[in-house]
Amino acid sequence: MTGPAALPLSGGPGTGSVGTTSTDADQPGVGNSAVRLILRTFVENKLAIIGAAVIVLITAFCFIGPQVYHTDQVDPNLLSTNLGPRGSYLLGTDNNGFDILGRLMIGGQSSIEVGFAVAAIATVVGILYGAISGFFGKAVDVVLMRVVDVAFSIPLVFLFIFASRIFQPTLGLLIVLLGLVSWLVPARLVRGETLALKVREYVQAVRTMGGGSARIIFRHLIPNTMGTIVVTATFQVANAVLILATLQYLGFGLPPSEPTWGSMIANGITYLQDGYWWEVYPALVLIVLTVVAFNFIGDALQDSFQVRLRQR
Amino acid sequence: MSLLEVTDLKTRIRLRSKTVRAVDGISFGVSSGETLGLVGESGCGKTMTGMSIMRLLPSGGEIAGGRIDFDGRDLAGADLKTMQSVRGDQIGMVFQDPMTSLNPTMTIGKQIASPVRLHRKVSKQEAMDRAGAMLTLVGMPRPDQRLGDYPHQLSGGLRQRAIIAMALACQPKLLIADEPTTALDVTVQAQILSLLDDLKGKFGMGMILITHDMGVIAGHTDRVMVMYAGRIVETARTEALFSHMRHPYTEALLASIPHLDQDKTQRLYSIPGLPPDLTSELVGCRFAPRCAHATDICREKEPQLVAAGSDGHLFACHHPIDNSADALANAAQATRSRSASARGVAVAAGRAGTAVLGTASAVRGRARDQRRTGDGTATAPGGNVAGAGVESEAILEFVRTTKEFLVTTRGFLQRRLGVNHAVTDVSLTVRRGETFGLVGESGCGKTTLGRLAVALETPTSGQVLFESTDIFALPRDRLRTVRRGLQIMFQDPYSSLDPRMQVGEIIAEPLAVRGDPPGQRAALVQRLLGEVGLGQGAMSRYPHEFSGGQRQRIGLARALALNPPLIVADEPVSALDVSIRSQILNLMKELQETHGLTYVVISHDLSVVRYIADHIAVMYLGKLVEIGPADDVYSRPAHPYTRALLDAIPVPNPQVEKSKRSIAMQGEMPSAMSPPSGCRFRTRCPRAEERCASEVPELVGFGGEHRAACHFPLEVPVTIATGARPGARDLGARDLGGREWGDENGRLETGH
Ligand SMILES: Nc1ncnc2c1ncn2[C@@H]1O[C@H](COP(=O)(O)OP(=O)(O)OP(=O)(O)O)[C@@H](O)[C@H]1O
Ligand code: SF4
Ligand code: SF4
Ligand SMILES: [Mg+2]
Repeated sequence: MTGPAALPLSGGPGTGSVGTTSTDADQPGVGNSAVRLILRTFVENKLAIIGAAVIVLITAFCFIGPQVYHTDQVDPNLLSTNLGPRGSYLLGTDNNGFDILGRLMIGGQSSIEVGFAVAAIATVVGILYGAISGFFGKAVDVVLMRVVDVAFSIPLVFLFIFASRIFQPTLGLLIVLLGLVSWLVPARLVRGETLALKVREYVQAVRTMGGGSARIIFRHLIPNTMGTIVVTATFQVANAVLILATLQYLGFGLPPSEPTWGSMIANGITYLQDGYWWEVYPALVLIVLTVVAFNFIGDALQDSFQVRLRQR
Repeated sequence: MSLLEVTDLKTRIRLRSKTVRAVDGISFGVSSGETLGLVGESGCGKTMTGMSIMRLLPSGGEIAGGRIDFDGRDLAGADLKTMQSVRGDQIGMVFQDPMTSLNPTMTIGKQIASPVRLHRKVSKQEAMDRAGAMLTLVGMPRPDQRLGDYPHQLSGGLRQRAIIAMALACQPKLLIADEPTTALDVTVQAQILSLLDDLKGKFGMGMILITHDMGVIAGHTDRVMVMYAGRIVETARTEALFSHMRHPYTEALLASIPHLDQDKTQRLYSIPGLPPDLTSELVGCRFAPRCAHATDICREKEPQLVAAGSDGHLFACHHPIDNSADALANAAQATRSRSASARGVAVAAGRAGTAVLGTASAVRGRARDQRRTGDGTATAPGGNVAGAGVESEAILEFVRTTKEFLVTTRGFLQRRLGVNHAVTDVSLTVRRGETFGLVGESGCGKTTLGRLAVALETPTSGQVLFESTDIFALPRDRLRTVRRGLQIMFQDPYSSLDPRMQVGEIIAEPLAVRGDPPGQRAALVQRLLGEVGLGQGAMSRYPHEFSGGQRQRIGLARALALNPPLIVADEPVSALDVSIRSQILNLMKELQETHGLTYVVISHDLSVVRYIADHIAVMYLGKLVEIGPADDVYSRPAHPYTRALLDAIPVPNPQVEKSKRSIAMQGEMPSAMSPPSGCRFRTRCPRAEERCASEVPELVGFGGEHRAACHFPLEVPVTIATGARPGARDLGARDLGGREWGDENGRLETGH
C-alpha cells in the first residue's frame, strides 16, 4: 500500500467533518452512538420520563399490590356492599361487596397483559405482512393491501359480538381477537417504509452480492423500520388497553368472575346516581393514566428518532 | 461605496451541545454590476455567508457580530419587517436544488408573480404579466403556456430558469446564487450561467456566485473570495487569482481538479485530510494540518489578511507561494497551448519535482504509474489506437442490449402511459484490466446500462455477456454465484451503506452471503479496511460517523470483498468535494493495479472520466453515439454531441473560459418516452439536416476502435477495415484539428 494509507485520513472520522451537515458529527465514540443519541433525547423529554414512571407504578400496583394488600375477590360479601372509602376498605366496595382497591389491582393485570400481548402480536404480524407486501410489490402488494383495506372495514363491535356468541370469552381469545384487528396499522406503516427503503442503494448492493430476499427483509428492511415499529408498538399498547376497556364496558368480554377496569366501570355506572363515585372514577383514572402514559412515551420516542434523522 | 459591504461578519449556529462557528469574521464588498465568486470546500461557510446576508439562518443560527451594510442599511441588526421588505425585492436568491426550491402545488406563474404582488402594489393581472415577461427574459420556451404549469412538468434546467425568474421578478439590486448549476448537466449549466451573466448586465445587479467549481469561477466572476473553515484565505480579481495565487489552499484546490489534459499516468494531487471541525476552538492557521508548507508559526499564530500588490488582492498565510515569475510563464503557456489549463498541472508537477508539495507517496505513485503505459489498453499520448497493440480479452459485452421501462399510472389498475426507452440497441465491449468510461447527460441511460451490467436490471432484448456467459440466460442460483464477480460502487455515499449496520458488518456482508465462516471474515475485513485507507477502529463504527469520502471508501471495500474482476462505479465521486474526489480517484487507480480490476466508470463529469478511463462511450438518449479510446474521443470528437459536451466543461482558466464565444448547445434532452425519429440528437444538433430525421445513423469507424454514429460527423470517417493503423491522412487531420476551445473552425473538416 503506498497512496491513501499514507494520508492522515486513516485516523478516522475524528479529524473533522465534511459533508453537508456533519459539523455536529458525533465525537468518535465507542459503541452505538445512534442508540445513545436516541436515549439522550428521550431522557431529556420530561413527559416521557413521567410516562415511563407511571407505567412502572401501575404495573407494580397491579402485580405486586395484591401481595401487600390482601383482599377476597372471589366470593361476594353481601354484608358490605356499596361501602364508601374507609379504614378497612381504602377505596370502598362495590355492589357485590368486593374491595375496590383490590379489584383495581386484579382488573389491571388483565388490562396490562392484554395491552402488551396485543401490541406484540400486532407488531410482529404487522412487520412481516407489511415488509413482505412492500418488498415484493407488484401483484403481491396489491393483493395483500386490499386484504388490509377489507379488514379495516369490518366493524370491531360486530366482530366481538359475533365472537362472544360463538366462543366462551377468555383472556387468550381476547388477545387473539384484538391482535387480529390491531396489526393493520403497523402493517400499513411498515409497508410504506419498506417501499421507500427497498430502493436504497444498500439494498441493491445485497442483490449484487447474490443475497436473497430473506436477507434483505430481515437484515436490512426491518431493522431500518425499527424506529416506526417501536413507536407504533407503544401506541398499540395504549390502544389495546382502551379497546379492551370499551368492550368490557359494553359487556362483551371476560365473564364477571374475571374483573377488568372496563367491567368495573360498567358495574359501577348504575350506582353513580346514588353518589357511589368510588365504584367508577378510580378505574376510569387508571385507564386514562395508562393510555396517556403510553402515548407520552410514544410521542417522545417519535421525537427522538426524528432527532437522530436530523443529526445524521 | 459599494452596494454590499460586509464587515467582520460572524455567524454561529447553536446545536444541542455545541456551537458551530460557520462564518468567523469575514469582510468583503460587492458593487453593482460585479460578480463576486465564493469558492471553497463543502462546509467552509459559503452557504452560511449567503444566508447571513438574507438573514435566513437555520434554527439555532444567529449573527454574532459584524455589519452587513446594504444600500445604506445595516442588515445585521435589521428587524424582521425590514428584512421581509428586502428579501425578494432588493436581494434575490437562487438555491442549488431546483427540485425543492419551488412549491410543487402552485403554478409557475403564481410563484413568480407572488414576490411582485408582495413588494409592488400591483393587480393580479399585472403581476401575472410581469411573470410572463420574466419567463421570456430567462429564455423559457413558450412562456405563456408555462405560466400555468406546475414545477413537476418542467425539467431541471427549466425549473432553474423559473427560479431565476422568480428571484429577479422585482429587479433586485443584488442576486445571491448558491450553487445554481451544481444539480444540472454541463450543457445546461453553461446555458444557465450565461443567462445569469446576461441578466446581471441587463439589470446592473451585483451578484454573489457561490460554487465549488473553479471552472465556473474562472468564467463567470470578476472577483473571487476563497473561503476555508469560515474565514477568507484569499481574495483577488479573478484573473489575478488564477495567475498570481499566493495561498497554498487556493493552489491545492486548483491542483486537485483533474484537467482534460491531465497526464493520466500521474496521481492526482489531493489535499490530505479533512477541513477542521468548526465547533472546536481553532488556533493558528486553520489549514495548517493539511498544508505542506506549515511550520511552527502556522500552528501557533493565525495569519491575517495582507495585501499582495495592488487591486485588492489579499491573502492570509505566513509562507505565501511566490510564484509570480513562473505564474507568468504558465499563463503564457496556457494561452499558447490549446489545452485549457496547463497551469494547475504545471504547478502540481513543479511542486512534486521540487518536493515542496509533493509528498513522498506522490512521487512514488508517479514512478509506479509509469508502468501502466505498458498495459495493452492504455494509449500513448497523441491518440495512438490501443487496438493496434496487444488486446486483452473481453470481460463484459453488451450485444444489442435494449432496456425499456413501462411507465404506468400508480395504483390498482395500472394504466399504461408509455414506454421509456432508457437504453436502445447498445453494443459494446469492455476488456479485462481496462477502465471503461460511460458519459452523457443525466437521463441518457448510462446508469441503466451500468445496472444491466451487474444484473440489477433485466434487458428487454439483447444480451449482456460476462466472461462470455449470457448472465440473463443463467438459472437463478447460477446467477447468484456469477454475479459475485460483478460488483457496483454507488454514487450516494449516504444511501449506499445500511445506517443500522456497523462498518465491519457492512464489509463482511458479501462474505456472509457467500457463506464464509465468521472467523475468516474478520481478517479479510481488516485487510480491506487497510487497503482503502481506513483504520481498524472503523470496524465497530456506524456509517453516519464518517464523511462522504470515507463512506465511498467503505463502499469500495465492500465491492472488493468478493474479489470481483469487474466493478461498476456509478458516479463514484460526484457527491464528493474536489479535494476528496482526487483521493478516491487515486485510490481506485491504485486498487485497480493491486487487484487487477476492470472498471466501468459512469459519470457526467468528463474530466473525471478522461483522467481515469482508457476507453469511453458517449451516450445520448439511450443510444451509443460515440465510442473509442479516450484520448482519441477527447482529442478528435467525431459526434457533434461529444464535441458540445467537451466544449461545455468549465475550464479553470479565466482567459480560456471567458473567451468562449457561444454556448455549446441549446435546449435540453427530450423525454425518453418519445425520442425524436432518426438521429435522437437532431433536435439540438447544429448540423442536423433532413436526412437526420428520417434515417438512424449507424456507428462508423474513425480509425482504430474509434466509432461514432452521425451522418455528418466532425471528422473524416475511415471506411476501410479498421484495426490497422490509421494512415497519414488521419494524423494530418488531427494536427489540423488542434483548435482552441469553442473555436468554430474545429468543426470544419467533415465528410459532407
Ligand atoms: N442547519 C445547520 N445546522 C447545524 N450546522 C450547520 C447547518 N447548516 C450548516 N451548518 C454548518 O455550518 C458550517 C458552514 O456550512 P455552509 O453550509 O455554509 O458550508 P458551504 O461552504 O456552503 O458548504 P457546501 O459546499 O456543502 O454547500 C458547516 O460546518 C456546516 O456543517
Ligand atoms: S499559514 Fe502556514 S499552514 Fe497556513 S496556509 Fe500558510 S503556510 Fe500553510
Ligand atoms: S446524425 Fe445529424 S442530427 Fe445526428 S448528430 Fe449527426 S448531424 Fe447531428
Ligand atoms: Mg452550500
